Amino acid sequence: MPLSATKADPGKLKPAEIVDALRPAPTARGECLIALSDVVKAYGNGKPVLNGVSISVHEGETVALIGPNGAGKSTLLKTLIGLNEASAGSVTVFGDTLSRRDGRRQKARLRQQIGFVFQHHGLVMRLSALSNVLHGKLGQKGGWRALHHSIAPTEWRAEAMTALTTVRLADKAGDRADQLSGGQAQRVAIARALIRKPLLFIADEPSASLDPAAGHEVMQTFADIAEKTKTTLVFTTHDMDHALSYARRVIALKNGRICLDAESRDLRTRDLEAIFHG
Amino acid sequence: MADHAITRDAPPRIRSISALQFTAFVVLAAIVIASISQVAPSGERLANAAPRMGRLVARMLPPETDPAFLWRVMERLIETFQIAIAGTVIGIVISLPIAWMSARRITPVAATAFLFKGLVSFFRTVPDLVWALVFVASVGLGAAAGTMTIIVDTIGFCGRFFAEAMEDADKKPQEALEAIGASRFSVLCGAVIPDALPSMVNTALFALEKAVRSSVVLGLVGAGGIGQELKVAFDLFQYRNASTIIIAIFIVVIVMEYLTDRLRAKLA
Repeated sequence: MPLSATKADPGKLKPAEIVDALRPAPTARGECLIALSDVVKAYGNGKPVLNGVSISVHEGETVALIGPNGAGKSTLLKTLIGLNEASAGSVTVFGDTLSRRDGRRQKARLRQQIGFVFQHHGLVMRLSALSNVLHGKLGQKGGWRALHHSIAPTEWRAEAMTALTTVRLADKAGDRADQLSGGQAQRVAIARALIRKPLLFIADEPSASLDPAAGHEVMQTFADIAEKTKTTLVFTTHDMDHALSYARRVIALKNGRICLDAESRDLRTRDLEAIFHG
Repeated sequence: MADHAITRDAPPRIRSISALQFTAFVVLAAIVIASISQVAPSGERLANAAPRMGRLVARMLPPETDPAFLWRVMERLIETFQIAIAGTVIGIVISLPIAWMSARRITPVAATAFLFKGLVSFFRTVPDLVWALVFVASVGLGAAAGTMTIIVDTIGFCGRFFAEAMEDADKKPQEALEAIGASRFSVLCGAVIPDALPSMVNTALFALEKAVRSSVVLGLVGAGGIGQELKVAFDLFQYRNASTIIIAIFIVVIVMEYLTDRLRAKLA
């Protein structure tokens, strides 16, 4: 599997070609991107937050992880990118099995291929939307030039503008992040993930802190990008409607274990609510 | 009756204190009274000093306005200001890496953070006049000793408050950049400093204000600037010269405080 995608310069593309430019390098369709086998995660000597979780996610899938508070959804996502280390079991991402011995550099290389979006957008509020999008380049070689849009190379600025265009915020490029609405800020965070041309989008409750309309807009933007760029999307949510509308597969966690793994078309809101209340 | 019941449930006017707290209070009161009686000026002494103070003020008036002297005062004031500016800027530049190394959860080497914190505390706790004596003894009389003193003083001040501003910076952008695979230095420059910048600029302006005041008195121990001129004036009983210098110092400090206040208000 290729670890990086080679692209045409998005600055020279027409709007219609933008999505193609952001698409990752072609890989064998349906290849397994994430494989978790009997993963256990406990903090200190406490009760395991994840208790024998086994999941595989294939290329091109859109997966919603649902479950009540404390079910282990966020822990699972953080374990996937090495922000958390599994206490037991194996985590394989892009064919590489994560290990406790992995250095910072190896983890950084893994994260290079993942676009992570947090519940809170995590933007630097005093910087412009454009600078925040450019921060997506920070882990790359010469990434220091992405610290601020004023020192970024022209082609990176063009890529950032392309990503902002994709999330329909090109006109806000010069606005400071603290001048954006919650939904706009979250879309800038998506653009920051998008500029990395990831093989995998991971989003931890991206719509949780937004009002329903903004939440739908963010999820729609995410789902559109994932579909058009054929990028795999894994997101957690408390919103059953979002899980059924924007994911093809729904995985439910409860007490650190998987209690449901099904195609969303086979599910109804009532089935999912039973997991929270049952 | 009902009023009585309500009053009974209310907390007592004076909270009861333990025997230990009472003893501590008595000891503290004894220390304060003993200190005042030992070193504070007595009424008789103040009464005797008042005429002498009056005579001194009379000898200071009118302030000296000889153009040659005013020009010398101006030159010394410029030197004082240069000591403050150079010392503060160099001190701030050195403070940044020291603050980074000592800030909890931000430092790239957690094991040595306490060493940098200790260094900053040491710089801060030793008074600037003592640093000035040390540098005058090591690099000789003049502005260089004053500048070095301000550098050390600024590191002690900014090193602590920069580190605190970094520790208080919003954690969410830092987490987001770490998830991207950004290096610690990139997280510092990309997320920590932009968020902590207003607080750091505020601290830097206070440091400059403090440096101007310090650089005025450093001359008293031979570390350059207007203080040296003031000391000469008093040593030679040139009280009219001294009053001119005191007025000049007053104007510089007030103007400096006004400008930094305006800048702070603009940045708030």
